[in-house]
Amino acid sequence: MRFAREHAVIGAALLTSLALSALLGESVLSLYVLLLLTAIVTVGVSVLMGHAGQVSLGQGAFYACGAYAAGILSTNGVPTLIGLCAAPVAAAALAAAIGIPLLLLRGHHLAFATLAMHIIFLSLIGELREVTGGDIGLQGIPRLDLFVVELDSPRDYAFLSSIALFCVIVLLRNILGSRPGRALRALSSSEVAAASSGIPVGRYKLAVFTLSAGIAGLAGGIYTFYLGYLAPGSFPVMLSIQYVVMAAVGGMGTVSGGVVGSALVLLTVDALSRVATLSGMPSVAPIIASYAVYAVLLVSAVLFLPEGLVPFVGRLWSRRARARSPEHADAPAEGASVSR
Amino acid sequence: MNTTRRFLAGALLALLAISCKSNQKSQSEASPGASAAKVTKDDTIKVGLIASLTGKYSALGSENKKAVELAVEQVNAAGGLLGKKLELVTRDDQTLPDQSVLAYNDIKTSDVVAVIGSAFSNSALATLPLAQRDGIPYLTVNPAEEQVQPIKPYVFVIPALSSAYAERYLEYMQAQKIDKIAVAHDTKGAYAVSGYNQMKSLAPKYGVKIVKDEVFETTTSDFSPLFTHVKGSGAQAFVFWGTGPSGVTVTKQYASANLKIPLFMTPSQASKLWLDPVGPAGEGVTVLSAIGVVGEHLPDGPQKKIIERMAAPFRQKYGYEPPQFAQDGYSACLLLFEAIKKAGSTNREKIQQALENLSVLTPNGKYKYSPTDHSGLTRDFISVNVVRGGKFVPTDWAKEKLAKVATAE
Repeated sequence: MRFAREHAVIGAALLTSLALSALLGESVLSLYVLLLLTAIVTVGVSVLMGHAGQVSLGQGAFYACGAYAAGILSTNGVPTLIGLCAAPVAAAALAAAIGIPLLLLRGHHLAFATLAMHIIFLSLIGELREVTGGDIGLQGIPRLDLFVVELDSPRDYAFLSSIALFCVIVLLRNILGSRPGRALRALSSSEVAAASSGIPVGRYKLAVFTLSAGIAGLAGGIYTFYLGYLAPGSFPVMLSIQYVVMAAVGGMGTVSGGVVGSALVLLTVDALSRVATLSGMPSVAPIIASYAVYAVLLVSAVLFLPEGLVPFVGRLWSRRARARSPEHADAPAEGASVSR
Repeated sequence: MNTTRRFLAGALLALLAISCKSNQKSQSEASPGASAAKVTKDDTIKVGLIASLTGKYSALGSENKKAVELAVEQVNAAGGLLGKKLELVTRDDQTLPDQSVLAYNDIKTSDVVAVIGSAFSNSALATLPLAQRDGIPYLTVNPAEEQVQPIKPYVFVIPALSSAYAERYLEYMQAQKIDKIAVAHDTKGAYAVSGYNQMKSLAPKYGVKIVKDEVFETTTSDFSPLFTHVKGSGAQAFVFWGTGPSGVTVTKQYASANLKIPLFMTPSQASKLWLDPVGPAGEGVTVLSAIGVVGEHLPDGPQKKIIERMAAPFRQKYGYEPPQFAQDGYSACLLLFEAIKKAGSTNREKIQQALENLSVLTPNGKYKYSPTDHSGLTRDFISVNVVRGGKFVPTDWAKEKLAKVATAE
C-alpha cells in the first residue's frame, strides 16, 4: 500500500516534469534543463552526505569527468549513445579508484581531500591539451543521436533529463529501502556501532561514494550533449560547493530534499540575477545580488532550518495533521523514525 | 511512514508551484507579449548583451555593460536608428559558459537583432555556434582567435587578435634594433598561449631571436628563478605574456631584480587594474594598448574625436578614464548601429551582410570587416606605450605611427 502510493507520487512527479518539458517557454527551458541536471547531482550528494555521513566537495569533478568522457569519445567518432553510457561509468571508475585511499579520511579531512581532487582534475584537463582541448575547451561535440531521433533542442534535453532524474530517484529509493540502505543509515550515525553490528563499513562507504559519482557523471554526460562545448571554466570549484549547499538547504539525506534544494537555490539565484540586470540598476547590483543576498539566504537557512527545508515542512505538516486528529496520538513515534 | 510520503508530496507541490509560476510568467509574458511584440516591434530595436557581471571576469564585464549602455543612450538621444528607439536586453553569464548559453537562449526569444557577447572566451566559444545556427549576428568582445578560425559568418570579433599584438611588438623591436629577446608565458591562459605562439612563429620575419623561452603558471608568486635564467641570456628585452595578478607580481619583482633590460607587457596590463597596484614599480615598463587608451596623445582628427565622444561622457558619469573593455563594448555598438543603418532594416541576415562589408571608425580604430576577415582591426591601431608618472605615454615611434592613422580619413 505504502509503496504503491509512493510509486504513484514519483510517477506523478515524472509526468509533471515531462509536462513542464513540453509546455515551458523557450526562454526558461535552458534554465529548466540545468535545474534538472543539477537536481540529479544534488540527489546523489544528499544521499552520500545524509546516509553515509561523508562530505564530498569534489562532486563537480565527477560531473566534469562524466562530461569529458562523453565529449572526448564522441568527438573521436564513437557513437554518442555509447559516449553517454560511458559518462557514469568513467566517473564511477574514477571515484572507485581514488575512493580507496580517500575514504580513509573523515569529516573535514575528507572534505578538503575531495576539494583538492577537484582542483587537480581541473589542472589535468587544462594540461592534457591534445585530448581535452585544454583551456580553450573541447569544441564541436555532436548532438546526442538515439538512432531513431537526434536530440537537438533544449526541449529534447529537458525530456531526457527528466527521465534521467526519474531513474536516479527510483534507483536511490530502492537502494535506501533495502538492506544496504539500512546499513548505510546505521553507518552515518556511528561507524563503530555499525561495524560492530557486522556492517562492512569500508566497502559500503566506497560503494555509496562510487554510486553518487556515477550519478554526477550521468548528469555530466547529458550536459555535454546539451551544451556541445566543454571547458575547465565550466566546472569551477564553486560548483562542488553549490551542490553541498543545495543538499543542505533541501534537507540532507532525503531524495526529495535534493530536488527541492537545487530548485530553490537555482531559481533564487536566477531571479536575483534578472532583477540585478534590469536597465537602470547600478553596476554593482549583480555582484551584490549574487553574493550578498545569496549568502544571507544560505546563512538563514542553516540557522533557522538546520535540518533542511523538506524535513522542516514535513514536520510542520504532520504536527498540524496530528493536532487536527487527536485519535492518532501514536503517530509521532512513527513519524520521527522516518523523518529522514 | 506517512510522513515520508507527505514530504515527497509537499516537495513536489512546491516544485510544481515554483515551476508553474515561472511557466505562467513565461506564458503570460508570451501571450500579451506576442501581441505587444508586434506593437513594440515597430518602434524599438532590441539588442542583446551577455556580459560577465559576476564571477572571475566581473571587472571586465561591468565595463562592457557601462559602455554599451552609454552608446545606446547616445543613439537614442539622437533619435534612435531607422526612426526607432534601441532597447538593451542584458543578461549576466556569471563567467560561466553554460550560463552564457542559458542567457543566450533567453534573450533569443525576445527578438533581438544581434547579440554582443561575453568578455570570457569560454562563454563566447560555447555560445557562438548557437548564434551561428540561429543566424543571429554575434559580436564578441574577447580576443580569442579560435572564434574566427575558421570564420563563422555570423561571428565578429571586436578587440584586435593576439596575433596583431604580437606582430606590433616585433615591428617595434625591429625599429628599436632589438634582436634578442627573452619571453615568458602563462601556460594556462588561452590568451597568453595564443599570443606567445604567434610571437614565436612571426619572430624570424622581423629578425628577432627568442634566446630564452620561459613558462610560468597563473598562480606563480615568485619569479626570481625566472629572472636568473634571463640574466645570463644576453636578451635585450623581456616580454611577459600573462593576465591577472601574475602581471602585477612580475612587475613588482622585476623592479627590484635589477635586470637592466626593459620589461615588455601586453595589453592585458593596459588598464587601471594593473597600473594602480604596481604603483612606482610600473615606471618605465613598456605596455601595448589599443589606440583608445592613449587618445589624449593623438593629434586632432577623426580618431581623437571619436575617442572623446565616448571618453568624455564616460569620465563624467563614472569619474575615471574608460578602460579597454569599455572601449570594446562601445566599439561593438558603433559597428552594430552602423550595420543596422546600412542594412536599412532589422533583418538579421541583412545586418550580417552589412557587417561583412563594413568600414567604421571607432575608439578602437578603423574596422574593415570582409567575408574573409571577421576581426577587422589591424595592428596599425595598436600603441606601444611606456609608463610615465603613472600614465600610459606612447613612445615616439608609436606616436609617429599612430598620427598617420589618426588623421587619415
